[in-house]
Amino acid sequence: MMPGTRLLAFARLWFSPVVVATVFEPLVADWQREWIESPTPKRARVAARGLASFVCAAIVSSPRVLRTAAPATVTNRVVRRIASITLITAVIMTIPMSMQIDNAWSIGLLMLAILPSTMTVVFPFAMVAAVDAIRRHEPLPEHVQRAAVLKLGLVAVVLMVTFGGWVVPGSNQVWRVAMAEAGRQSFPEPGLRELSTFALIADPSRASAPARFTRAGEIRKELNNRAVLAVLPVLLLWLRWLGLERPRNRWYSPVPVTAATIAAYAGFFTLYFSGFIFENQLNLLPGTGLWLPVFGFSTIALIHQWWLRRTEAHA
Amino acid sequence: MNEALPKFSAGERLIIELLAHQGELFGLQMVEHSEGRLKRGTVYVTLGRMQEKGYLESRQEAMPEGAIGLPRRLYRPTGLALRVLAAWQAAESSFAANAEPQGI
Repeated sequence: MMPGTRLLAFARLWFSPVVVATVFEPLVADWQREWIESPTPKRARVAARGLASFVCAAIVSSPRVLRTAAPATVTNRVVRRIASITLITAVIMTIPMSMQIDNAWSIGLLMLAILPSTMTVVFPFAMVAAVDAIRRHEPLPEHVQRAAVLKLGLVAVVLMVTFGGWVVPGSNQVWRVAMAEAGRQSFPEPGLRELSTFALIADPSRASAPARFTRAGEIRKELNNRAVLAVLPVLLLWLRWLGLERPRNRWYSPVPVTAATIAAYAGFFTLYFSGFIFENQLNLLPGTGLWLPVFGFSTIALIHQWWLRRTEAHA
Repeated sequence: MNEALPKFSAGERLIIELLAHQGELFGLQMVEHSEGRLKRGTVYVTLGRMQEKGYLESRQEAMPEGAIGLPRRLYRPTGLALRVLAAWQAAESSFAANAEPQGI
């Protein structure tokens, strides 16, 4: 195979036809000609130089992917779907906690304080429905769909880092103080979940840890937990994207969005709690086990991608 | 007409000067002729941008029968690019002449 053929196919997936025709095709054409005209011993060097220039051109052109705009109807549909799924699921999750509280004031406070935490847990799973909202309604060019998913992934990670690192600790703090003032619990030092990510890294001495664990270990675990939740939206976008790549009208056709979301919840929490068990059983560093869902989902995605390529090649 | 004279970046100007002197060139030939001032990784991005701005035209080379690989793209400057280059060169030489120190 001529050098650059696969890379050009990759560029066609991410960049507009204009960028491919004006940037990547001329680059690959010059590269291939140089490679053909070079004596065999020099071809490896030519291939390496061409690869470096392709990577450089892709990096320089990458802002164009982010500037690729999806139609407003698609953007609105994605935002509506994420917001409704996140809010409805988060409110449902707070109901069992609110049943244990006897006065309306506390229920209101609970909703305000717990809602950000539950939203942070359910928001990544709304990504499954978001991919469907981008890909399954109106026919969009593939590079526009990919750009929309890429931008959504970036926004989701930023939101998760901000929410998990600052908003949730802030709301936990409000809840703790309110409960202490209401005489429902003692007024302990701030726990790990009440400190922002910055505070956990820069000023860990402010955190109180349960007596049975070391403070460093608990901080490490909490930071790993926040990191795992921050990358989860990207993994779920990737998995659902691959899921929708499967051929239709076969026994392995893409599953409906509700079933895919439930499978994502089940898979995540099974691996998440299995991670705790592995960590304890194998005496791993605190927080290492929390990465089991990331490892598991990435492995599934890679196998899926390999299988799709193999299926396409056979077809 | 009250339009400002369009500006070239250093890379854009170099490409137009090369094409004005050498005639039609491929991207890689421009890199070779530029003596290191144009880089392989960015020259095609610059060429694409210049085509969008209307400074360059391009055509695919004719491939001989049985040739393999993608056809290369040959670039040439448009009349607009040559006029803008000439205007800048005139402005620069005029500025240089006026800026020369006067004898006492």
